[in-house]
Amino acid sequence: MGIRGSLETFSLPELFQIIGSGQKSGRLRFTPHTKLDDPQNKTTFELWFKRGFFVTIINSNQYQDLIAKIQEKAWIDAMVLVKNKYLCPADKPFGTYLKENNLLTEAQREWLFDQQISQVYKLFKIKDGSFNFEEIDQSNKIASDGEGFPVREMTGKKRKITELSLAAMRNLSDWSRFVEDIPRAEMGLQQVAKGYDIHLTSLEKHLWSSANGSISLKKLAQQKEVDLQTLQRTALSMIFAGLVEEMTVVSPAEQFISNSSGELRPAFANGSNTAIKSKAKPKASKSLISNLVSFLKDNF
Amino acid sequence: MEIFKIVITGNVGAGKTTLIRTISEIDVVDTDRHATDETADLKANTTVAFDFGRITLNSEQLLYLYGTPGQSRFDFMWDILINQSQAYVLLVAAHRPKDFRGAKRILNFMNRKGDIPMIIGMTHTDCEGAWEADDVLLALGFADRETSPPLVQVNPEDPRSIAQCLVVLLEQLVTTAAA
Repeated sequence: MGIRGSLETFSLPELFQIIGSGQKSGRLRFTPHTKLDDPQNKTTFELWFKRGFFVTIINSNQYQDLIAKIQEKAWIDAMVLVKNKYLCPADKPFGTYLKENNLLTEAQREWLFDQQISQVYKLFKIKDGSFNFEEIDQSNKIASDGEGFPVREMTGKKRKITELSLAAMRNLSDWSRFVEDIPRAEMGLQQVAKGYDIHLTSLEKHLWSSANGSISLKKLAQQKEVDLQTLQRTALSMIFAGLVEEMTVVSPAEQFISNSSGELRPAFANGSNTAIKSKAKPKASKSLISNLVSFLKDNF
Repeated sequence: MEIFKIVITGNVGAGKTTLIRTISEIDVVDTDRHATDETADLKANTTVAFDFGRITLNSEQLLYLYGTPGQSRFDFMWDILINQSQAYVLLVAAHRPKDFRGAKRILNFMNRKGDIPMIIGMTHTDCEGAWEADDVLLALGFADRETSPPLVQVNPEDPRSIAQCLVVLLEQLVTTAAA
């Protein structure tokens, strides 16, 4: 079983978040819908992921894209390239093999991977399309068709999905399909990741460090003297990247709640998302819970 | 009189009102009104305040069930209800991925307002396009099944299925209390 749907019901960044947070390995087939829906013009993209990392993209209209790009650049003699294509072990990314054999430099491999990444950025701009994500099984194959990782199209480089998604969202100009997802101005942010090991912009860093649920996006925008809409969009990108989550703002005074000894303690001690209890709830007796369980088991 | 109060929350169309109507011993006191916004695409009427149902255990003990409105503009009602309750069930329609973010928003709100035991009730699991439980959990932000709240499949039209769901919730309450 996989995840199947359309961009109308689930967006690419949300899908990326699931693949990343679930550390999934597999193939995401994505078919953009053209207005004319011309079958001759139908391109399908295959994005491959390994343990939550993006590893390659294949465009159905561009056969042997990796080899074609190397030939375009004339980095390797055509005959040598073809020969090495057959010599490359079936479980090794072609880019890694060429690098190990001193046929490709690290900079060239990096350039090839950047070309693939830029194709992913373009996909994030597509408004309408269908997708199907299928996981790799224990034998390293897609169960439905037995396909394995496309090593001939792999550079051997990988990119963390969080980083990829965040960068793709930064490149977005049309946000119309995310209108319902944009966090409201009165909402705050709360860190949900333990930390980050990817590059963040100055605004993203500011949002990260302010994400303790005590300040609204509106106030943050005023403080930082940033356009509110820009801030809200950045917040959504960080939500999709799994770094923060939107939260109802609780004032600093409310962040101190009484414990049983009457002491005040911070509600976010240890950085955990401890709930703010506005009032003590009545405790249910053991007898009530026990009777309730018995009633539900015996009467339905 | 001892009363145990459970909130049933979730997006519009997740099955909250149906669940309470199915299991309540009294005619559910509902506050459904004709939907005039995007909710009308899903159902003709929607809850604007809350649904209320009751189960009498004995002469001294009762269970109250409160169903929240699904739309976030009524979140003041979520606040009121969660502060009155001892546990809650978040209903998520497995075949409607578009609503997963909304469900996550409700989850964040509830967890922020009330540190009380909860479980996820996955509905519509037999519908076309229904997601697997693990993927629904990921969409709700639970990457680790070990630490995620219990998730049960529940049919809001089946009293037995609802009873089993509520038993899991009560077991969760006992586990949380013991911890």
